Amino acid sequence: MQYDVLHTYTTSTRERPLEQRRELDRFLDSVQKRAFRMAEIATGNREDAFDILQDAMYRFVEKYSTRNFAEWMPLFHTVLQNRIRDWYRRESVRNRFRVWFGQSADEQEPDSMENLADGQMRTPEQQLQNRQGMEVLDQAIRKLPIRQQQAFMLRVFEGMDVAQTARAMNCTTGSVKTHYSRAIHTLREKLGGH
Amino acid sequence: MIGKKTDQQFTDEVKSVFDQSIEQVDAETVLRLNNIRNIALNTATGKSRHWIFYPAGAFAAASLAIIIFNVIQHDVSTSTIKAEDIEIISAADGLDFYENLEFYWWLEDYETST
Repeated sequence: MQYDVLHTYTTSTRERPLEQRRELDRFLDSVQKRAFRMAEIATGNREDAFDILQDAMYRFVEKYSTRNFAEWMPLFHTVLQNRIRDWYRRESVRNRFRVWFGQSADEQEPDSMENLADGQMRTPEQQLQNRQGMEVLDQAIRKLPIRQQQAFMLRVFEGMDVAQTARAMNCTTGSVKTHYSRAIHTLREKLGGH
Repeated sequence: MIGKKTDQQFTDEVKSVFDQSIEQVDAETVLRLNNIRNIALNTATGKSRHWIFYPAGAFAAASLAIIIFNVIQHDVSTSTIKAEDIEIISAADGLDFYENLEFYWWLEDYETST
């Protein structure tokens, strides 16, 4: 697993600026695609995902680059998830403004997931095996509440255990279990995983 | 147990789709990702290089503290002398009394001993 491989790097990077920079570069290079996809799924917008990731990388390097390497992965995801949550807060404010101006937030984004799923005449298993399956999955995850999204993506995509996920999400392990369980239940209903 | 297995199969399928999407990330996106990584690294590490100036700052702060301490000490001793001077000047006795102070101490000792 990617997370395990990353743990094989050295432990402390203090007092070695050049080597530290190389290690940071390697680390960020190894996580950037997955992090970008997670941000893209959460926001549904490529440009926002790029912005979130750049901000997360910057803040991670600035605040945590001197920390032990073993801590980098959960810390990076903590920063990334915080950025995504901030984005959600801003979006919810924007959506309120849209509602005030007489434009429903739902009108902005038609439920293409429903249309796509019904129009293709495929089983959910077949959908999951191709590119469109990813689009369906993206949208299904995006419709989850933010905390369920985070718990699901960190547990399933990143392979984090409950404790690591709790740390990345700044919540208790109990909350992670609840969010994850609800996310699985909702996604299986929507994607027909039964 | 069947429910658990099905959950596991479901998450395995979902993860597999996600992993495929990672492999399919196009070259343009990778280029942009590399670019933002370099920007983040250069900006953040450039800012964090301020630690180089920490020893100089600490030395300057220590020097300033020593100077301030010395000034305060000097002021305290000066103010003590000034207090003694003021006591002499403001005393009701004439200055002659202070000029012959040793004589009065001797006189006092002499009278006590006899």
